[in-house]
Amino acid sequence: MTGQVLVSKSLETLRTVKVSQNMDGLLKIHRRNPNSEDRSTRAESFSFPISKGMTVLDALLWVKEHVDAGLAFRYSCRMGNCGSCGMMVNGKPRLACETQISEVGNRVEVAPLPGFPLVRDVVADFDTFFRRYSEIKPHLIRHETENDRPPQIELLQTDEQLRDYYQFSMCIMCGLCDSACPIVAGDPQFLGPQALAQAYRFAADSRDQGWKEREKIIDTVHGCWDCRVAGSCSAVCPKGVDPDLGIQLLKRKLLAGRFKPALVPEAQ
Amino acid sequence: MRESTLQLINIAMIMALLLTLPVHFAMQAFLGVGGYTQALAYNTVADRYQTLITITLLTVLLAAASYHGLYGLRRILLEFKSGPTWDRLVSAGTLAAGLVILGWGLRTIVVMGWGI
Ligand code: SF4
Ligand code: FES
Repeated sequence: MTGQVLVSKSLETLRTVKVSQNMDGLLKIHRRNPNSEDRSTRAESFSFPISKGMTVLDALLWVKEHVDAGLAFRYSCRMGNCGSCGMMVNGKPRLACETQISEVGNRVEVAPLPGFPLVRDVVADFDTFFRRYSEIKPHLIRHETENDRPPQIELLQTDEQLRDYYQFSMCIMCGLCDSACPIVAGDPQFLGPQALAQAYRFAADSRDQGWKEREKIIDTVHGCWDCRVAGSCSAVCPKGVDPDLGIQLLKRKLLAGRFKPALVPEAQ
Repeated sequence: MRESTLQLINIAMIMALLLTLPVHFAMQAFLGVGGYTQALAYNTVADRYQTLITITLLTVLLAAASYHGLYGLRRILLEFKSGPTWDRLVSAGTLAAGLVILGWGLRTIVVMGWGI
């Protein structure tokens, strides 16, 4: 199809927009506005011109710019760093800005991340996700007295100590892991792979002294023991964090601590 | 009780099952008097409650199997619904069921072993 954009609003309505490019891509978007009168989900298809290196986010931006300014999606960095643009792309949770059209074919279907409440179109509500994350106290905890502040010593780390948690600190909080997790889908009390992997990130940090506090939160039936090692979180993580590994390491640390608390060393 | 403690007990029970089950099956199949064909005859079964080794074996088997089974059942039931009340109900229910099974099983062992 050349020279026109086909926008099938529904089977009945068909709108065309004149442009002078090859419209060889078709973007199907699952759209819904929970705050409008019509709360039903509808799939709308938009054709768009494919260019070299184009990403799914570029296609969405093209549609928003040229066809439907009301289309809602979230993005910021456009380079896989901010974690804003997570959505289902051809049935798989992915970052729209990191997914090239050439990877997924010229027929692209996007939908909001499952397991999250919907704001609009493909924008998911991350409130619960961030609440779960803040539950595990995602910051370095130090048991210093007033006299120690500011810290009297520099908290140095060896390369090895850095390696213990580095991979887990790569998380950009895109939520893809939680959306892929079958336990998150079924148990609203589950902390989820992202929060648990971050609990391990701090547990493995030699500078942190907050294990006792976090242990109470994660050593529960809806904490790390709710994980059944499906592994889907790690399969979709765009940053190679491997949250599944983090959860299993947490379990190991908890069990080791039951035998001998000395196996879980306190930070310096 | 911490979930890791329950999990640790579960692992210990799995180990116990791995050790006791083969012996139990071997006793049924070929170690007992009369071999496989007489394995479930009344006298053969009753005989098993007469020696300390088999009584210990059966007690360990009973405790391990009921803990492991009920721990698994608890995890399945916890998936059905969500909420602290349901969690408490399921945990208390499976604990009560465990105590009943253990009590009933031990009663059988005592009655058969000591003829009370
Ligand atoms: S662990 Fe991976 S998939 Fe999950 S939020 Fe972090 S970066 Fe995203
Ligand atoms: S826009 Fe930032 S990760 Fe995609």
